[in-house]
Parts: sequence; structure tokens; C-alpha cells
Amino acid sequence: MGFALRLALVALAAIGFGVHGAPAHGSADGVTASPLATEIDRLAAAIEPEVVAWRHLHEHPELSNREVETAKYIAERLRSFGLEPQTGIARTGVVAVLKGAKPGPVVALRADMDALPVREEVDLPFASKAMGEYDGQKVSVMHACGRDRRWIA
Amino acid sequence: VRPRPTLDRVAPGAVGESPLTTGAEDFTYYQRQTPGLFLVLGITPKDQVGKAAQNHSPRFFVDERGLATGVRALTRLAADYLFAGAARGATKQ
Repeated sequence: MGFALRLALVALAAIGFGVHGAPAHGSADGVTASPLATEIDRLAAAIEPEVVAWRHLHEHPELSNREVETAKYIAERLRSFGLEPQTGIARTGVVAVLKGAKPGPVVALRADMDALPVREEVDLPFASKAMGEYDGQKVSVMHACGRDRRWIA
Repeated sequence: VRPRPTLDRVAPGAVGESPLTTGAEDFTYYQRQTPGLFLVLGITPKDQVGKAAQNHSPRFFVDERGLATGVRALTRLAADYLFAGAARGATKQ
């Protein structure tokens, strides 16, 4: 078993690199830490309680293609950061663009937000009690894949 | 694009490359358009590795202490990439 499987890890997010939509082969080596690294670590530590507090999504999961309330919640969070999210992308998707002051490379972060037809058996104050419809049947719904946590990161 | 140095700075000694797998992910469609990285974040405490429920289980549980590492990883990957790209652009001019 590989590193990822042994640790029972959860995929957090997928990242796309590109320059104005074109392939970015060799356009950046990434070997040097940006001058923001220390500041990023400080701010990440500062917002950690807030990131943990976004358990709302864990408590209110929705099945694939039906993430209506999830999408609203995420769009609202993005607006609170001063972004202008587009909604309804491929039905329930949300996209926001954070523009820099100058032209240059582009980084895209992508995270999925659908939950699974699984009944949560973890004893948590924010455990899911949500129900959904799957294959014509009423089913319990749970973020058993960690996708609630990908968005908040 | 080399994301590994950034990740090694974010989580020294805790970064590995996953073996090639054929999971049910559509992420590779993005790579037809642009280079990318699929990042997996560990959320299982070390003493629970091998014992904790895997994802998709009704007993799957995210240890929230791992979240800050995820925030740092994504933010620093973006910052390092953008700064390196800007520096290279400036050199060309």
C-alpha cells in the first residue's frame, strides 16, 4: 500500500496551474519560497479556529448535483471575502476569480462538494442527520469523503 | 512546475508521492488543458494510522488538526508558483 492509502488520507483539493489558459511547462520552478511564506503561515494559524468552525457543511451534506444549500453557503462565504462568485456552473458549481494587480500566471483551485448516501455513525455534536433521495429511495447522507473539509481549506 | 519543494517546506518529512492509481476521479480531464497537481491531505493521527476508518465509511472522521496544514499547503503552493512565474516574466523583459 502506498503512502496515501496507508494513512487513510482524504483528497483535499486539486490544483491546476496554467498561464492564461496555456500549458505552463517550465514557466516556474517553485523551488524558491515566496516572500509571503511566513505571513501565510501566521495567517493560517490565526484563522484555524474559524476554519474548524465551518462544521456547518459537515452537518448539512447534500448528494451529487443537488448541493443547492451547500453552493449557497460557499458563495456567501466567498462574498464575505470580497469576491464575486458565479453560481449555477454545471448546475450547482461555484466559481470565483481573485484577480491580481498585474498580468501573470494563473492558479486554479478545485474542490468537489458532494456527499454520499451513507448514514453517519460517528458520535459528534455536528454529525449529519440529513436525508436525501438516491435511486428512488430515502437515504441518509454523510460527508464520508471529507469534501466538506476540502472547501473550507 | 515543481510543487514538491513547497510541500516539503509546509510539512517537512511528511510528504510522499502516491503510487499511480485508477480511482474514479475526473480530475485528469483538467490535465488535458493545463498541468496540475492532485494533492492528498492526511487527516488521521499517527497513532490511528491503519486503525481509523477509511473514507466512504460511516465511521470516517476528519481530525481537524490537519486542516491548517491544508490551508498552508494550498496557499503557499499558489504564492510560490505565482512569485516564481512573476520573477521569470520579469527576467524575460
